[in-house]
Amino acid sequence: MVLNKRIKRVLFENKAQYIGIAVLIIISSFLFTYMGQFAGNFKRLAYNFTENYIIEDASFETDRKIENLEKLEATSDALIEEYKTADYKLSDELTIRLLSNNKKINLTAVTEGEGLQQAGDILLNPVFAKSNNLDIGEKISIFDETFVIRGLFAIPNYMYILESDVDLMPSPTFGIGVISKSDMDKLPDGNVHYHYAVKFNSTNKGLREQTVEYRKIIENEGISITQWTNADDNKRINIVEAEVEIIKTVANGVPTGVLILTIIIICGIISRLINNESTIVGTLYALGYKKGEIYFHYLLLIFFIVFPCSIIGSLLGTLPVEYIVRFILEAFNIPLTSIVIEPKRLAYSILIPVLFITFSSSLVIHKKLKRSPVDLMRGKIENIDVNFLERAIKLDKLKFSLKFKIREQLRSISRVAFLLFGIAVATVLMQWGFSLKTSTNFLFEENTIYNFKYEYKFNQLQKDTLPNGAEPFAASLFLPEDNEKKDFYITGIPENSNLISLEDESGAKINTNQVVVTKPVSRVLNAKVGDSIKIVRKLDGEIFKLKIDAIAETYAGRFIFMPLHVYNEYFGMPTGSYNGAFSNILLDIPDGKSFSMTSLEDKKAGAEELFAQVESMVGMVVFLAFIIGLIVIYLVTSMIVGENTHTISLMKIFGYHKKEINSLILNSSTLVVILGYVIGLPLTTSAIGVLTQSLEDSIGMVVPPASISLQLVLIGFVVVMLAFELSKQLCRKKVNAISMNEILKSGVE
Amino acid sequence: MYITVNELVKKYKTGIVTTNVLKGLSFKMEKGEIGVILGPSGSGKSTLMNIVGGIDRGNSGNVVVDKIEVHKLNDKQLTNYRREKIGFVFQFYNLVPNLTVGENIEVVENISKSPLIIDEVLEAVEMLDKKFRFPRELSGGEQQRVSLARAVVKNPKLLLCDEPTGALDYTSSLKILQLLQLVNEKYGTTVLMITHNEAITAMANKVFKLRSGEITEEFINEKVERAESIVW
Repeated sequence: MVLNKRIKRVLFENKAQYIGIAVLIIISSFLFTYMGQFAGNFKRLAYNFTENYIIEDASFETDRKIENLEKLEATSDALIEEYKTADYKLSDELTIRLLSNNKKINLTAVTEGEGLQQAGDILLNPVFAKSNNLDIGEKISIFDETFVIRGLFAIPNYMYILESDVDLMPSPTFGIGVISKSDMDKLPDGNVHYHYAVKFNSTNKGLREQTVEYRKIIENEGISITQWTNADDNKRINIVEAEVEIIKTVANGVPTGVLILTIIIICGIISRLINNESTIVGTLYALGYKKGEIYFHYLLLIFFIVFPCSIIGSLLGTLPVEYIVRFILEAFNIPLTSIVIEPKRLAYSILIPVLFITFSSSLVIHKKLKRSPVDLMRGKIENIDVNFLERAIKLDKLKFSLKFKIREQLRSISRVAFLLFGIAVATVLMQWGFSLKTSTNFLFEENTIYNFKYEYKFNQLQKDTLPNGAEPFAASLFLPEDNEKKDFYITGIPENSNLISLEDESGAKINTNQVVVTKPVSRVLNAKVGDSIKIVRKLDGEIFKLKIDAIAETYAGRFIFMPLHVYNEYFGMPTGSYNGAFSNILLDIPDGKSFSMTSLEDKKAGAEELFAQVESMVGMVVFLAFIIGLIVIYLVTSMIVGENTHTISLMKIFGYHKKEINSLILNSSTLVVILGYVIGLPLTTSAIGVLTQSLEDSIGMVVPPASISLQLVLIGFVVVMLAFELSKQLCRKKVNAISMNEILKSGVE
Repeated sequence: MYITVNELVKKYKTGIVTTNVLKGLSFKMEKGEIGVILGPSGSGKSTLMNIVGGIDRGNSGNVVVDKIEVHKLNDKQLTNYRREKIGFVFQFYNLVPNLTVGENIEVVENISKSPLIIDEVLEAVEMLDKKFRFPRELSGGEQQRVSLARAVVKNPKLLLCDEPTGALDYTSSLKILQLLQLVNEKYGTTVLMITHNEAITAMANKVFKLRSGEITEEFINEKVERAESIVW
């Protein structure tokens, strides 16, 4: 159809506007592909790893060694493997946990170099080796034994390498190494811990059911299980699943937000285009063109932009997939076997924008072309209709310039809505980027309740008096009666503890001579001060009742604190006993006592190092938000200029100076931009809230409430206003280019 | 002399074709007069008015209005000239559609040094009761009255009207012509009007007939009639 020859011309006439739309479509399909393929690859790699290297279903510890594992396997329909661990401090900062090389469960995957060849060989996790310059072939001394680093490895039960199960994130100062079982046997006894990993064979029975049966079999042998951790509850394993969920949520949410923006703007532009061309459309009808032909013509125009942009965006989106997968595998120790670009997902990324945009545009085109040829030929009737807001709002008391700007915004509610939505989306994206950084600061700096440097955990109960600067504690895991995922520690600490500092909502100090629950526990139990709560001891399922005396305003973890002597008495522990110590000094612990020690400073340093990498990601997200904000504001400002061509021309004739016209026309959106930003802030906290809630629900992780600091609110505001100023600068040329002849040659009423 | 146009030439070049729109045209008007430029389409009426109004420039010749040498002004000075001296009335009113009647007048009042009071001007054009209406809610004649009020509010020295009755019926046209005469008499505003309608020459002090970029006839109307008595 000859009419379609004008498509290219229409696009070129308003180049900048269509380029803006094209960029939004490209960003949208880019994000669909990039994030979708990223999530897909991460999920596949994790799944293949856990399947091929036989991840445990649970791990446990017992009061004494299980002597006949083969017999247990035969009676229980499950694989079982004993494995050993030993922690060793390579230096003041570096700790390595040695694991014995397994044969049946949690198998070692060599990711670089070779596997264990002979006695004295060791494999390290890649991040630890890289961060501490430990190269393959080098020798390291552990427990006075010399080990040769033979290669790097990953293991399914340490996909997320946490030193302790209350840690929030891995630290480059903590690593794992695998050595042969015979080498492990050579290590000093007091430092080696025994564990068992179990993998159930039955596919008919549920995991919980098999767990219960299995525990009974062991206990029937007269062996007492001192700790049991299901893989689902193990943060070193289950956080992978949570991460997949988060990536999937973001992978769907962010591109969908951009796609909605694109749809709104395209619908607005096509609607305005048909309005402006209504005389031509009416004439074409009069000349005998069918509605379908004109409908197809406008649809083709949209398709002409959307289809190539969607392909370009999707193809571009495949490029950084490998980079981002490698980036995330710095945090998760999963072997990178291959990167697969899934054709089906790629096709979705191309088709989703095409289908949604074309469908939405077709509705608008259909509505516009419904008018009769005579109506259409009469011209831009709809543009000058007065809407209810314009009529309802009285502005006569205001200054002219303010009045003019408000009228300009009231003129098109859809335009204002688009601008508000666009700025809000950009704000959410930007503040989400910022929150990646602030949440770390919050967790490690502002939120701490700890006034000590070292935390010691003993494998046997202690009774010795500790030196000044150290305080004993006793802790064990409990569960709410109705929730198996959100476990928490009940910790007995000295009354009036100096090393644990708790505050209530108002910031007042809480004395530790009572039962104090941290905020996350009160949330999990849905309990307030004065309530009596029922809790289940994880170790043996025994149910206890506790009355809450105070709630501490902290997100440091899920804890209930109570006086140590009350703890011992209430939970049946020997008087004066403890199983851990907080300390500001290094304790002199006699040889042969089995213990582990964690330095809080090391943890913080490690986390900071890890989060330095996140900063580049924050920069990218903020830049993306800036670009989206810039495009949205530019498109809206261009629309305003386009709709005001006659007014601008008229103003020039009346003797308005360029500066005055620019101020009236281009600044008319200032209030809406600010409002969009303000609306974006609570939306950010809600969006982050949804994300963190899913994190808490899926793996029971403690997540502080989403909050945005005033400083970042101001920085975000500056970024948005910068985008606004830049788009105004771009549109200034357009305003200046409008000639006075526009009004002189216009012959419309 | 209030307006002196001397040997004004305007050419438009499109590709290799040059069109001579004004061919060394000259005319003069006294302060407070009503002048009518009469001519067929393409005769150069609008071009002449645009140059006098400082919207366009001639290629050669002089244009002096109220002792200002308009042909020598730069862009900024031309803007100030239009801002301070000239009022415009257009054939198709050109009101800003999303501003009310009162606000449309404020568009000009806002940048004027010593504007008239808006309500008084609206009263004069009999539109005060429709001050809060939007242009869409007015008839063509009413819109043109608002357009006139907008031009007058700055109390311009020269009012340039491009076919002010061209889109109106007889009754509305007569009303506009009466108002133009009223403005001329009340404020001493010099009025230069373009029209196709020969009957309107009856209310003018001076009439210039234009054809193909040249003034073919110019005469002084000794017997100026009241606008309300004009018939066509």
